[in-house]
Parts: sequence; structure tokens; C-alpha cells
Amino acid sequence: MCFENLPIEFDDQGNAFLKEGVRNPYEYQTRTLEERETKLKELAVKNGQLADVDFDPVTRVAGALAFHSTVDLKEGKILETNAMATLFRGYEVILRGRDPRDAAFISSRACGVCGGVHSTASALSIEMALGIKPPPLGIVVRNLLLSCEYLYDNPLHLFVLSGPDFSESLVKATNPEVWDKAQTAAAPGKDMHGYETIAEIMTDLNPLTGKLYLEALNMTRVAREAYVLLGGKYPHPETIIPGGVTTTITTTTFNEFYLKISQFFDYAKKCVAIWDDVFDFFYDCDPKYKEVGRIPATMIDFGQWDHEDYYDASYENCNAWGEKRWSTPGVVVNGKLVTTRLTDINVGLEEFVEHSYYEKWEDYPFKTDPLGNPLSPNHPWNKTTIPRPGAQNWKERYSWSTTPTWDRMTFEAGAYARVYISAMAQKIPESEYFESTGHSLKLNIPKGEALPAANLEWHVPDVWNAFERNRARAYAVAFNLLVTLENLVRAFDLQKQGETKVATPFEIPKKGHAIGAGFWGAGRGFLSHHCEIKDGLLANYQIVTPSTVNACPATPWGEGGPYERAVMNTPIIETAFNDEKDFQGIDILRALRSFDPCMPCTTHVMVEGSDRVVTREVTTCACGID
Amino acid sequence: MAQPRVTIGIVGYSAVVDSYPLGPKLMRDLEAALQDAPHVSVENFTWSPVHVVQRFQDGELERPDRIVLVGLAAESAAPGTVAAYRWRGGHQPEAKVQERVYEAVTGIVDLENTLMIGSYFDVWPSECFTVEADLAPDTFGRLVMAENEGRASPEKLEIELGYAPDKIREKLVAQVTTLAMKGVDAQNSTVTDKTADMLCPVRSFAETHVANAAGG
Repeated sequence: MCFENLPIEFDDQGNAFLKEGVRNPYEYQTRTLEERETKLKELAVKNGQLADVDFDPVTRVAGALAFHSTVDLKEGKILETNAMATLFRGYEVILRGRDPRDAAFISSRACGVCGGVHSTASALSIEMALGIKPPPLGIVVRNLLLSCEYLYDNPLHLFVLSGPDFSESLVKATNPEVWDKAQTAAAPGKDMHGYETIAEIMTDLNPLTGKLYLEALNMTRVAREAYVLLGGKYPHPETIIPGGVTTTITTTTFNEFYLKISQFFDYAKKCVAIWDDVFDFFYDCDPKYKEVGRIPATMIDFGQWDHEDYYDASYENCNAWGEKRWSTPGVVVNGKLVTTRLTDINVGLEEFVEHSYYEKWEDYPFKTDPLGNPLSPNHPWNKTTIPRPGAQNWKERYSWSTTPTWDRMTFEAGAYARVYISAMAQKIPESEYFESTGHSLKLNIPKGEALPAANLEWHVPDVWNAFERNRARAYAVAFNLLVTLENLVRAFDLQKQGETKVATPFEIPKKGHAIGAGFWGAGRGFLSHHCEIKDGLLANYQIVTPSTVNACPATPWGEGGPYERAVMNTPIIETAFNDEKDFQGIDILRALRSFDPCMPCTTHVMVEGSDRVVTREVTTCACGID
Repeated sequence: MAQPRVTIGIVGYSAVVDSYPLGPKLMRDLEAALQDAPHVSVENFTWSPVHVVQRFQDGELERPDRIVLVGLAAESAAPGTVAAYRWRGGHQPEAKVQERVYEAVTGIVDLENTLMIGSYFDVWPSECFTVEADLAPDTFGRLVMAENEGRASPEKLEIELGYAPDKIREKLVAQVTTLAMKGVDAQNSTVTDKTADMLCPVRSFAETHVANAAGG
């Protein structure tokens, strides 16, 4: 029984059904946010130290996320938070009425950083709808391509986007007492990364000049080059299609690919050692750091990297092939793994728009999924995207992001969810490189150019906070690398067996009605593409991105999104400020950036009228908002 | 006397519609205009500025004696015009350069980011020029829509935009070619100096880049 809030139960065969006697099973109460507003006003009267702090942009990724918070500087508390996606993503509207073969190419444009994952999620979605099973090598090559994207994204975030928050320059400016301690704090992972003290690491995390920062820039290039060897180009690869990939691959290609990937053998070890040392040091410095960005560990991941022996693209078998993925799908609620079945994840999904710039839709075409499991009217297969631009008001509508929930809870998405769920589930297929223990993930990284082979182990943490998100992300680099190796070995084996086919031809039926879903993951986690195909054209297309999940506005019943809740719980540990003028909000930013925000996923296109698409920029700003 | 090695870097949009003045046709037109000038290479710089820098640092691209970067003006003040600048360098605070790198590594292609990041990592020669097309922020969207709706004739586009995109491209080609061939010798009153402190600050992607507009 994995649902606590939705009235869904299961029969002995594991089929879901709606609890009998519940009159309106998907009904919900909406609650205005005015109560909170009143409390804030009362506090402001009592305490003159309230400051409104706006961060716009906060993403360090194109800046389409604004974040508003009200901080009590005297008490070091955060009183109010609002995350706002400032631009509209119109891919759902653009794709409506198009040929399904266009979906992978167009949806790829949803992000300039991780377009390939959108292509793949789209391909999976079409494959499911039309029953297209790729050949084994096509599946394996797709896995390798995915790995390259993650090997770009995760180090980039750790050292270039989020890393500067832990650098000498930032720490000195915000918490000089921490910098003082860092200078004498020994770095336990010296054998792996070469640094004597934490201060030395912090210096090399300095943006633009730090060796770790510059090294990460270089490693992102290696990852992209590896991608291009197999995928032809990046961004927006055109080699990923429903049915596999369109690239011609020889043993030489795989050898060249291996040469690129092997550069990560030592780098992955270093990533883990660096961040283990830095985060443990922060905890030692001040236990309050454990509260930064702390919320209960509630997260979802679809799992990634299909196993070529099991993936058949069908919804009917998705629980079987899903659980054979190299990272395991699942839902963790309050630190407890409640399911690893893709159908359960899918059935519990809903999207709400009460605090977003969208109209509510009336249609409810799919009461159940293809297996007969019940679906909410707010499920992506039932959703229609109807943009409704309007004034910003924290009490009403303030974001272009929708509010995705699972079992009526907002949840987190991230590379860390991939590690967390895989570690807990003990379902990863056997591999010489990694093993799930139920409470940890064991990672065996081969010898690299300078470092010997290493056995690393990520443990499910006691608390879930900004530091643990980033720590798990560092281990995710190693996990990605090892899944890549596993799949590369499989690619060589398939070639030896004469399996060289990389795509399955297919045709779009001119008549008929089908639905499909691409359950996949971006570097930043959870990614779903739900499609409906009617008489050869896309009748509906819905994308839920990781940043939509994490940056969502409050639910209709008043629960904040993950960013909002994580920042609300964050204490102000920053010390080097006198008043709001020199307050930098580093603790808020650490909490936010631990989610690896990427809002281009929710940007780019604005619709005028019903289905007309025009490219426009939308002038919005969190400053001075109502 | 040996000819100087010249690189033209197009910080444009190589995968968009032909009618867009900084689209794929610009590269073809420049290559055609410079076919008799083997010392001039036309390169696609429609990449992350960090990647552009890495190509120079790794020796994948030879460091030229002169470079002309061509792209979109960061701010729109007089749509339909083309301006040329000589880059005189200068410093920005590291935090400001970081903001440009953050954009660069996450997929933003931008002329001024390329200029500043290249300058920070010291990849530009002393003769460094930019040629910038001033296009209103919604130009690309309008051109795509016009193409989709079958009304992309030069005459109709000129009426819709208030200027002819073809003419912008012609101006770009003329100005770029002149600077590539003559460099500082071609510098006159129409080529003004540009320094780091004149660059538009990195702003929220949500803010419309129009000069003098409220909140812009």
C-alpha cells in the first residue's frame, strides 16, 4: 500500500483501484495563503528587522527562476518564501497537432543544457504509444549518451554552479570564522584529491581562478566530446529517435568513447573525496548547517538506463523493465521507500495550476491507464495546457511552473534521488561495478591514470538537507561513470555477437488512438513526457521537468513546493553582515542551489490567444511584487 | 609582406531560419565575399563562450592577428541598424565575469559574454572588433511565424519589422569584410571603441533587453 492520501488501494495482483464509497476521490480543498500574510504583518509590526530578499536570477542557468523570501535578520529566521518560474514553456502547445516524429526534435529544445534527455524521454513516450521496441544495441547506445549528459551536468553543478558557494571568496565574505577554521582543518581525503587542508580546497573552488573550477570546465568538455562521438552533435542531438538511435557505430567509435570516459576514473574519486571533506567540515564547524535546506526526504525518480534484455517499451510490462533499469525507479516518502513500480509512480502523479498562470481544464478523457489503474483528472494524460498570463500575486498566481504532486505531496527530483532510491531498493541488476545494499550504494571505480582502484560507498543520510543533496550528487558522478562502463562492456559484447542494429523501423498509423509515457531523467532528475496520439498526430503532449517539480508554487491546499519548504527551514548562519544592505543570503542560496535549479526547462515561448505560438520575452521581476 | 591571419567569428544562430540576419545565410555570404582571401577564416562561434575559449587554448583554432566577432547587439536601441566597435578590453569584477561564465556553461550563446570571457582568458589579439546587429527582441519569433505562415517575402518582412532583414545581413557582410581585410586601417568614426565597462550587465533572462524601456 503506497498511497496515504489518494483513495487508491490494490488487489492481490497489485492492480490499483479506487476505494469504494469515496464520492469524489480526487476532490481537494483549496486554501488561500492569506493566513500567512496576516501573520507576517503582525511580525513586521513587532519586529523592525524583517527584510524582503529577492534573488533574481538564482539559477546560474539562464535566470528564469526568481525567489522571494522574507527574512527576520534579528532572529536569523526565514518567514516566507515563494519560488517563481518567470517564463512560460510552451512545448505542450507547440507539439499539439504535430507528427509524433517531430516530438523528439522539438521537445529537445526545451533545454539548451539537457536537450538529449528530452529527446530520449520523447522517444520513449512514442515507443510506448506505438509499441516500438528498439534493438539491444540501440538501447545500450542510448544509455551511453545519457551517461555523457549526466557526466556533464553533475560536475558542472558541483564545481561551477554550486561550488562557488563553498569557495574561499564566498566563505570569507559571509562567514570569516568558518574560513579561519578551514585553514587548520585537515582534509581527510588527501590521498584522493591531494589537498592538505579544507582551506586549500576552498581556494581551488574559487570561481574563474580555482583549479577545481577550471578542471570542471575542462571535464564538461570531455563529457560533451564523448557524447558527440556517439550522438553526432550536441546540443539538440538528432540521432535519438523512437526505436533507437540513428548513428553508425564501429568498434573504433567505442574505443574512442572509452578513452574519453576513462578520464573520469580519477575525477569521479576526486569529486567524492572533495565534497565529503567539505561538507563534513561544515557540519563540524557548526551543526546548524545540517538545517540548511532541510526537509523530509520525499523524492521520486523514474530510474534510468534501460536494460537491453528487459526493456520492451510497453506500459503493460513497465514495472518489470523499470525495476531492471541500472538505476531503480521509486518513491521515497519521509525517508521510506514506498514503491519501485513505474505504474504506481504514474498513477499517483497530478499537476495543479491554482498558483500558476494557467487555466484549469475541464476534459477528463482517461479515467484509467492502459492497465485499468485509476487516473486523476489532474494526471498529465488528462491535462490540457491553457496559459493565462496575469498579474503576480503571492496569494494567488505567481509562477509559470505548475505544481506536480504524487499522492497529493510535493516531492523532490534530483541526481541524488537516483542514488538514494537505487541504494534503498536493492533491485539493480548484478554488476561488478556497483551494488545496492538497502542502506547504501557500493561503487567500485577502476584504476585511473594516477589513482588506484577505489571502493566507495554512499550511505543513506540521517538528515536530508542542502549538503546531502550535493554530496549524493558527487556520488552520482561515480555511479554514472560505472553505469557507463557496464553499458560499454555490453556494447562491445553485442558487437561481438554481431548485433549491430541500432534502430527499429516504424510507421505512424494514420488511424487509431494511443497513449504513451517517457519515464526518464535529466541530469537534474525526474523527467516525464506523456503523449496522446490520435489518427497519426499528437493530440496532447505533457512534459514535467525536474525544475518544475522542485520550483513549483504551493499546492492548492497550501503546502509549499520543495524550494519554498527547504528555504523556510533554513537558519541564517551568515555572520558578516550588519543589516539587509550587506546581507548576502548565502544560506538561502545554498539551500536553493542544492536542487540544481535549471529554469530554461520552463521558458522560451509565449502563446497569444489559444494555440498561436510566438517567441516573445516576458518582462517579469520578483522585485516589488504584490 | 605577409597577410595577417584573420578570423571572423559568427556568434549567431546557425540552425535558424534563413531570413534571420544572423542565421545560416550570413556564414555563406561571408564565405562567398571572402573566397579570394585565404588568410581570412570564417568560423562558427555559435557555441558556449567557454567552448570558444577552449578551442583557442587547445590550439584547435589558430590564434589570429586580427579577429572580427559578429553577432547580436546586447541591447536594442535602434532596430535595423548595424554598429561596429573596436574592443579595447578592460576589466570587470570577477563576480561579473562569473555571471557570464554561468550563462556560458549552461547554454547561452551571447556576443558580449564571448567577448568578455575571451578577454578574461586572454584569447583575443590586440586587433579585435565586433560588428553588431541591432534587432528588436522579438525579431526571431516574428521571422519564424512569418515563415510558418507563408508570408516571409522580403517586402512583407520589411513592413512587419520596419526594416529589411536582408539589408541588415548585407550591411553586416560589408562591415565585417572591410574590418577583416583592413583592420585598424579601416577604423574610422563609424567604428567606436568598446571597453569592458560598456558591456550590458547580465540580467534575468526574463527581462526584455530594450534600451530605455521601463525596467529594462
